[in-house]
Amino acid sequence: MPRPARWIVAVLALAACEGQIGSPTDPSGRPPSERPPTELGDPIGVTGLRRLSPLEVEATVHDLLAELGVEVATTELPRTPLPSPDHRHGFQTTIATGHLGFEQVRSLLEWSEAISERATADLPRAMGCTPTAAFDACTRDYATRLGELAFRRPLTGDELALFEDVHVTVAAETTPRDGVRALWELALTAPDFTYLSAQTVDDGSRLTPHAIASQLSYGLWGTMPDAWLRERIATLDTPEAVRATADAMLDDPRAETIVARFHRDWLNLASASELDKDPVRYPEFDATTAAALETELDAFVVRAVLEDRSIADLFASRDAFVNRRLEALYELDLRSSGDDDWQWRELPPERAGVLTRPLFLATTAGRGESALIHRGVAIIEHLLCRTLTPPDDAIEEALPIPVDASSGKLAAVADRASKPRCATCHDTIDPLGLAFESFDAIGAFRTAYPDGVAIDPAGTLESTFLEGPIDYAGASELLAELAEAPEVQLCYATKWSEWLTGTPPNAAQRAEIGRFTETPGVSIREVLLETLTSPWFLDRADLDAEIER
Amino acid sequence: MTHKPDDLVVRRGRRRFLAGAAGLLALPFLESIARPSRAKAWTPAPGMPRRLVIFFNGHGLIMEEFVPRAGFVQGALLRPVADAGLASKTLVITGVNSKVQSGHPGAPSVLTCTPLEADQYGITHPRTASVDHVIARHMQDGGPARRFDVGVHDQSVDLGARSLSDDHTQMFWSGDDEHVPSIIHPHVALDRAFPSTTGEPTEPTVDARTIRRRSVLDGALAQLTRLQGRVSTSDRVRLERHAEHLRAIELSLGSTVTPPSPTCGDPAFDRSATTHARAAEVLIDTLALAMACNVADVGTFKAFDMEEGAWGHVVHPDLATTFGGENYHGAWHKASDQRLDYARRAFTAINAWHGSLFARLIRRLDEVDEGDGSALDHSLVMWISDFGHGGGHGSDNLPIVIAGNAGGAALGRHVNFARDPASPYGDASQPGNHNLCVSLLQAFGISGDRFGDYTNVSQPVEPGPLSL
Repeated sequence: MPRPARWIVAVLALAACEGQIGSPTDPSGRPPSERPPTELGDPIGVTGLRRLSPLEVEATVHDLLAELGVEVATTELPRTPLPSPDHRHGFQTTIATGHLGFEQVRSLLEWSEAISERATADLPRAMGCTPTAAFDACTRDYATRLGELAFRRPLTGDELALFEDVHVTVAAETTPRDGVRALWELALTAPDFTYLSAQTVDDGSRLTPHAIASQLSYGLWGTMPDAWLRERIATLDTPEAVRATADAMLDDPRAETIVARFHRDWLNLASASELDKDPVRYPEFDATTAAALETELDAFVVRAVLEDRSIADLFASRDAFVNRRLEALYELDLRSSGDDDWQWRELPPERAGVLTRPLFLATTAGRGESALIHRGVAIIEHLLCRTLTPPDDAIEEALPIPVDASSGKLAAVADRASKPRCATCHDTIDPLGLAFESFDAIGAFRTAYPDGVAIDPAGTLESTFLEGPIDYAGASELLAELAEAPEVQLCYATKWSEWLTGTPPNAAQRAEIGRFTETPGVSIREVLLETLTSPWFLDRADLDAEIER
Repeated sequence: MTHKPDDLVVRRGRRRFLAGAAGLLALPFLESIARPSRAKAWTPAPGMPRRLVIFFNGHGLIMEEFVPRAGFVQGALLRPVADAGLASKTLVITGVNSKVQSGHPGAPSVLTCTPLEADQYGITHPRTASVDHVIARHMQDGGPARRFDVGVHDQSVDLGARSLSDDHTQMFWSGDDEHVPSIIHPHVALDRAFPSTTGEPTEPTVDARTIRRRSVLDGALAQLTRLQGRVSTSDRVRLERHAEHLRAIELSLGSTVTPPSPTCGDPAFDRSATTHARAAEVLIDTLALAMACNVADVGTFKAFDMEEGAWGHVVHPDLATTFGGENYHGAWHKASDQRLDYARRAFTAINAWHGSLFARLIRRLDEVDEGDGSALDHSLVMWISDFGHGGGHGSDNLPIVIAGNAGGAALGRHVNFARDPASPYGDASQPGNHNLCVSLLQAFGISGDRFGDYTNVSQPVEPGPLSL
């Protein structure tokens, strides 16, 4: 029986309101995967200097202190004064989050002083010897370890001489402890700490094994290389060895944290503490439920990535990790004994993958009602890698969105569709959002609005990137179809590339990523390993060519 | 900059301030806030403002409550200024459009007057400094700017949060892709401006730290130089900027100080504000005193627009309906415009709180006697937002107030350039932010009739200052 198809979505209509970022085609209309890198003219290797994110800095300092005999919880360390990352500008790991300004550089110096105070509170214990004003064996060994750990590579002779000079100069005028404090402050304020090394081997084309190890460590663990990884650095001289190491690193619990963080950043998900829902309408939604939403989503994405699931599975799977509260939310029969009893279950057919999980749905909702525009925009930006630019002046003519939206929002949808300036973007945003109207503000399934008006999430999606129109009865069918679309798989894979390298892939790199994802059923883990052994992870771009550009 | 021999009146006030700043002698952070050397001192010509202070609230206002009625009678938003008896020291300007780009992406262009440009990663940001920073550099003869930037944020009362915050509305820029963040924690702002109030010094002596800093900064600069030889052109620029900031800190280590003054030593403000409202007041008081005490040449205050901290303490019966789980930005979107009466009332209450903070800022400055007038009389204080009418989400008809010294323009009046200054949609023929910025530059003795980009604009804009 033909499905009702009230909403026709033409993604190509977005051309009028989309910017350049992430635009997958060039003016010729050919996708990058059909164009050779040489024609694209982009450098294929690493070009930029990646700065550590605030979270990476804090994790690194924690590990650095622990390696040097000072155990202190990350939460007890002073926060780095670096600004919080701006989600609009990509991931927390993205290179280009702006230049450091004067206030930031000054505050970083002060921050390093607070850290050095903690690091040197009990020096004989931490160093295993008592420092003097001289750069004797005790201090030299300590300075070498500190420098090599902080810079994540061996120190050069000049650098060790610099450390010596700093210690001797300061200690001569103050105390041996101040001399050691200055070593810490130098180690933490030097660019070699703040930026990931891009040092190359002698011929200048390949990153050094130390630089590769750092990239692997921050990309997969969010912190500096540990003793295990440092032991393997010497072996990281072939893509095969890098692959084997990365594969082992993905089995470490630290990778689970990073996989969860990646997906929360990618989908711009709220944290549990930010979810504020109407207690009258959702009396069952409390802090424990909110936390359960996070646990479920994290478990789902970690399993998808680390257990070799396919990209399509991420967007289509009905597996869910649930406790009793989530069983109730999903309207499953109750098998869990309570909040702490978690089980893998299969969800009803109205669910499909990560975008039908309550954390995403509750993030893209208000306090009492779903927010269909937020959901439509999220699909366009996160799933299709398209960028929307807000209109300058269309709001003038649009109907206000009713506060308790319920079915009243449908009048606003029709209003936007009838006004050309609004419709430029909302002709695409709104129908995609309507497909998700079957989920309320906490992500529970429903068939009608609170005022009794039936919800009709059906529609048809047409786009040049699809082989033909997709008729869908609701979000799960739409997502199941999109999950197989090469465009969607490429988009997701480019997000991982950006996370791992700190750089949004250029057209040439996107073309290469397209080759990773064209294998039917390719796993996410495989895409990660391909990226981690790709030229833009292991090789340095020709800087002279880049300079000429 | 002119150094006229007849500017003795101005100098008398100035010297008092220098004395005030010197109250920081032998205290932590002294070296980083004191003037590097007397040769760089800003000596304004007679009648010229001595300092620039910008008050910013994100996301515009309920404009019909901002625009003064006939007879310079203030609406709800500027009533706190009138109640403080300071309306006669303000100039309200309406009908100025932000000409480069409207909406959220246009916010950084309001004070840079240049469009955002994409870098090699496709990420857009301003390439030039905003007018406040150009003035700050001018006041140091091109040397390192002396700025003091604070703001109230959702996390201002969360001491576990980072103390420097960026947000979605980045107004102040010190250069290419170099945003100026705001200090959001009152105790950090106080420590930065008035180190004597820390109460619990963690350093054994300032000297030991200064000695360490000299070596550490030298070392970090040496490492930067080594690294610069091995990176791409764009990263080299990035590292050079980093090095410039390190050198500026190093330069300040050798600064000399003048004798202490009781005025600026210990403001004894509430260091542990537990509400956003209180945090905002302490930050405003700290900013006003810091400016009066010559801690900086240019100061800014931001009321961040996205978070509950920008309004969460305001009590009004229409707030719950207006917000309904949305944040500040979402609620403006939902309200769309003043057609929703309850939303207009709710946002008026919030914007009136912004007005009360602005009134507090200029009142604090006006309370400081500088001999030949108050600190307010010697300051150019400006209130501006990135939008005009918040619900309109556009940057026409920006709300602007200039208080204290408006560069010679008469105060106590309203200058309007728009047919309907409360409308979200102005006429393209109205003057623009470029004209406003030229007016600010000229007020500080910087000649010329252009600032920013006059070609890549969404509305035409003419050279020259505003006709005030």
